[in-house]
Amino acid sequence: MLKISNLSYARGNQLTLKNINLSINHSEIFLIKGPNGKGKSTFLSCLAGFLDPLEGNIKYFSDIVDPVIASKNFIFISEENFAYEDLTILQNINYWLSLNNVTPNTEVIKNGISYLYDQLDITKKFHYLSFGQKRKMRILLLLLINKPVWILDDPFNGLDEESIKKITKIISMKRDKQGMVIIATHIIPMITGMKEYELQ
Amino acid sequence: MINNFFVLCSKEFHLMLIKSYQTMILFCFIIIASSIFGLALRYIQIDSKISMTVIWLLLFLTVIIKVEKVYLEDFSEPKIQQYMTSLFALEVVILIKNFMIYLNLVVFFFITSPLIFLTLSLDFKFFWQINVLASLSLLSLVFISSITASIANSKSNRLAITSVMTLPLFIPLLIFSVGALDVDLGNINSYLFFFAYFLLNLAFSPLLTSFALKKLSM
Repeated sequence: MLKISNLSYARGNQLTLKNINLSINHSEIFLIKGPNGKGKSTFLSCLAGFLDPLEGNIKYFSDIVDPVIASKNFIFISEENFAYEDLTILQNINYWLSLNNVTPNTEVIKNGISYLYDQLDITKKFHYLSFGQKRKMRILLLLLINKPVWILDDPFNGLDEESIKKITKIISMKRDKQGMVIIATHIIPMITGMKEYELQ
Repeated sequence: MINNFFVLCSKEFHLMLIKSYQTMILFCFIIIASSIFGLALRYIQIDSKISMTVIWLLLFLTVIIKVEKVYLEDFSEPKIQQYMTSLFALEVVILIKNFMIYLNLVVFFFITSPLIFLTLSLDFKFFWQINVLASLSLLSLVFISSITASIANSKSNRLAITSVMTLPLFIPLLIFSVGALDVDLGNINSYLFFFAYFLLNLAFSPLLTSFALKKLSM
């Protein structure tokens, strides 16, 4: 369980997040909503332990979220691309998997790729991929790196309808397997039983 | 974990090989700069120590530019976020990247050094000595430059200027590199300073670099 108590965050002199109290359980999908500039990405960065809150704390079960807790339990997928453009798709996958201490299994990687992409040459350099294809690779990493908490910043941006459906299915499956998914997005996925929180 | 550490090292090595063209361009500049220096002072008998100082200053500029470029590309905000949520600590990634940058620079220096010797009219009896000295200095140069680069690449322009505060850390290396030119290559004791200074940097540099990356680039 993730418990956020009295969380406030200030960037410079501006208070971006003010007194947020939330509880997110496993087997839950939590949607963070709000107009642009209300601090959705900042909130997710605080959750993942990238930013130090001004006040309050975030606890994962009984432990305050620190880099060790975050690295063991959380996977964060940001809006921006983090892959190495000069490496091939397969080399990128192997790089990020080894960083998360996951031994790459070619069969599993191929299955993940065939589910998300119709056709993809994994020996192609990453910079040859389109915007949408690059975004889908981040989702592929979610599947391959098995961590209990997924924190996703705008995962549907730039994707076609078919891909959104597939990713929605992946997210639902994660919930069914006792996972916790926290999403900040403007595109509301068609998933039943989602919890929502609107940043003011 | 150990297996994945070696996979990570091999991928970093691969990345560094791909980016070798940057190092090649920088070493072309070194050769051009040393040629200009050699031509400008062609009528004056130059002491080998002055030539060593020139080599060292050119290396210093090369390292600063190379490390800054690698850090700008490899430690962008989304990449730092991934490193922070990965099971390997950011310090380990910094350590691997620094060693790969070092390897890249040392190999290029060794390849281009005969040409640099020619352009500076340096006596080839110093060849191994200068190569050993440069290799030892480069270790510390890369690790100090990583602190400089991580501060210089910060989001805040005001803080970026504080990176110049790391520059005095380079001075002992210049002094000892030029001083060690008088010493015989077999006299290991004279090179102990470089090992000691490197160990000091090895202990503090990854910690300071990761702190700067986490706090200033996020």
